[in-house]
Amino acid sequence: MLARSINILPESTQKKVARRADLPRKVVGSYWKADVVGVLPTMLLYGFLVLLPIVIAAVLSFYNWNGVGALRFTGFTNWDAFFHDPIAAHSLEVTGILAVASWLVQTPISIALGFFIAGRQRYRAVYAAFYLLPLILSTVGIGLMWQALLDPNFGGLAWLAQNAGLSFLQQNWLGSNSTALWTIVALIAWQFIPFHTLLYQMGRRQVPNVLYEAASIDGATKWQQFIHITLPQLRYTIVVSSTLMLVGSLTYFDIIYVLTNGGPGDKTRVLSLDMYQAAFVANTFGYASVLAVVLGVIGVVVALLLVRLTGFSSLSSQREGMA
Amino acid sequence: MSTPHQITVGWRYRKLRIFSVVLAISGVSLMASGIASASQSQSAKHGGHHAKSAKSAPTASISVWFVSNPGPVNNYMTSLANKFDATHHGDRVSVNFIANTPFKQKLLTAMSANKPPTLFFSWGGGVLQQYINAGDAAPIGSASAAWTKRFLPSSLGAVTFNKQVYGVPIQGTQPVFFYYNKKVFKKYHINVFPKTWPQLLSDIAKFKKEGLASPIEMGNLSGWEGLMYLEYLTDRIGGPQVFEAIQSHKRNSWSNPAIKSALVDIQSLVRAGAFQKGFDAVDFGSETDALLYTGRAAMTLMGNWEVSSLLGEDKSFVNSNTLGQAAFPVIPGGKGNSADLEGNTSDYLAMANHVSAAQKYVARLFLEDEFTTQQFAKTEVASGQVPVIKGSGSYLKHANLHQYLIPTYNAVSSAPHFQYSWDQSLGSQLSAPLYLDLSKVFELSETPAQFIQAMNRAMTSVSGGL
Repeated sequence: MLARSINILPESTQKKVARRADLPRKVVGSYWKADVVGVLPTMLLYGFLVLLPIVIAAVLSFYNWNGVGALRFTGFTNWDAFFHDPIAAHSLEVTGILAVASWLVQTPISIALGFFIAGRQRYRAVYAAFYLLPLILSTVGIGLMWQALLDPNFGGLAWLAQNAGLSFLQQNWLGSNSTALWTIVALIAWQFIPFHTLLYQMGRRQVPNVLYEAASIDGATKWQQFIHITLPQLRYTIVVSSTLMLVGSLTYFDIIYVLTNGGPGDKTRVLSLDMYQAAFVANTFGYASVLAVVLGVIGVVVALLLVRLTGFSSLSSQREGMA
Repeated sequence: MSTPHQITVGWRYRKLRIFSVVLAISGVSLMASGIASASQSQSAKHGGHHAKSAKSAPTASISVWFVSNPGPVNNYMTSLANKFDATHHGDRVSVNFIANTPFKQKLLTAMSANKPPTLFFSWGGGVLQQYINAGDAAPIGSASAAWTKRFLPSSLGAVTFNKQVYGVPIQGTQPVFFYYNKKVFKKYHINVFPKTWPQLLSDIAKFKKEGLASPIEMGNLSGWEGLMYLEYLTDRIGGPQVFEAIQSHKRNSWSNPAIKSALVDIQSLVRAGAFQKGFDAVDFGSETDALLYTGRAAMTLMGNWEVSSLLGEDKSFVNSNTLGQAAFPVIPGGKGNSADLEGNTSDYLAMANHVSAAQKYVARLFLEDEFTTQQFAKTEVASGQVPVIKGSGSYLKHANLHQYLIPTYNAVSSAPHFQYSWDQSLGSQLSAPLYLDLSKVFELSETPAQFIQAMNRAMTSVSGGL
């Protein structure tokens, strides 16, 4: 419509637009059918592999099932147990701390590194290759590697402590109540900062340089430029990165499983690990389903809140008024 | 077989459960497939299965799922199957070796999908009982069958339910002992391994005072290693009946004073600094073994697979007889017999219920012909194990590592009570909180009273729920 009224599109395109609009209803209808056939395979896969299991987990949360034997309907017993389970409550708390701490640690470092490697200098590309290395390693590999490094008796850090005079490194990193969770936060950051760095690098490169040029002509300091140009321009990058960090750390499992198995005690027992234990150690699949549903709901709520509060859903332009 | 190997390490003893990570991630979808197959199996069970009538000896192909175990055990499973095939015309035994952790979940899925293997590896106890209760495991014979008399009496307890035997021992027995580094003991002028608990504590104090940072090594990441202390201490203090009450889910049976006293003893050990730094962030494996053979630790409490495990890490340490083996110390005034043992009595092959009558017939034949004989006892000894078949003591004399195998055999033969590992006995639903709360006791973040309260509560919720 717009195109036709102001006539800026090439003539051929105008004709196409017109033609589509002039098509008889019947033909449009058959297009609709073709669309359905086109998306059907994806819909089926998604339905069977994603939606159906969610529904079944929700149903299973009302049953007792040990993996063999019969399912027994128990109503809200599992849910009631969840609301009175001190371990689950504690796991929720640990999960929350992990998510917030991960965000606080990863975001500033990712922004700084992202901006650094957004520069076009060649030496920065070389550094970038090193920074991004953890991204290509498997999580279990990372877990085993750090387990070896952090071992207080034979680990690399203990060796440094004894042979390089860095005695503060001689810690029981993963086995002590005071350090275990923070060690996990640090290792998750080590693994995921490269990914978010890439996001911020791309985001930074998309900010038009004219903005900075104009600002510096107006006498804005670097800091002012960062606050008033960069951050607003990176708004959506920040939202995407934060959503991935927060929702990602809700379901974070592998490194914790490999390194501490939730320990010492339950100091690093996140909700996903609690779910794993309930399902595959205790064989209480009904209760594990409750935890799975809770985890899923929290994830969706967090994602929705982020999108809503930041105005991400409106998809308004950040470059309005720019020539 | 001259090559030493790792004696069976039960699923709970395995460190590499990493593959199950994948399962956890797809946990939700697995539950989905589970529920679907469970309803399927229900209908199949009602539909019944067409059994061949077994008037003349039937023939069949049977499948065996075996937990893979690098070394001679895998080899003799294969050669026994081949031998059976050759001597029983028309029968075929195919053995599938499956890694430890995937095995457990694969079996669960196969059972609930009603497509089980004919014979499956089992550790007996509460987990096997879950399959029996679900109608998924069939008895192999009555507890008075002739072949059951060929085994040491203590070895069939974990697979005997309602006077029926549901498993045949297929590997050696695995009691738990203290293993110690004789050189380290000598260096700190301690000549004999302590026979009593107070002596152990004073020896530990001596080690500490003279500069040995970690007298005892332990890998308690998954919780079972600490459990062995609780099992032994409880038995030494209160006798076997304390755990018998717990196993029969007697209300508040965790409140027995013997449990509390055992937990207090554990914490006094921790407070004395007996264990190495980071004992709760490492599992049994090469790191913990290294502490012992490098002399950074003096001793460890471990199943008898420790011998072959150490042999794999440092041959000369074991062959030079630097490794000592000793019974768990006595508690003065305790009710338990000082010869009582704790550990895994044996590993077993159990039989699935939803297979054809011909397959059951052939499976029973295979078990009885190949695993209950003196010939099999010799095979086990040759692969470095201590058989639970009566009369095999004489084969041990010339075996490799006889200095460890013979005392083990004698201890098992003369033990008034061989307590099967608690986690296996109680089943999965109770062992999960048991691992968690006990690890907190070891980390001094939970008091004995809190542990007892938590376990009593967990037990009521299990008996009420399942």
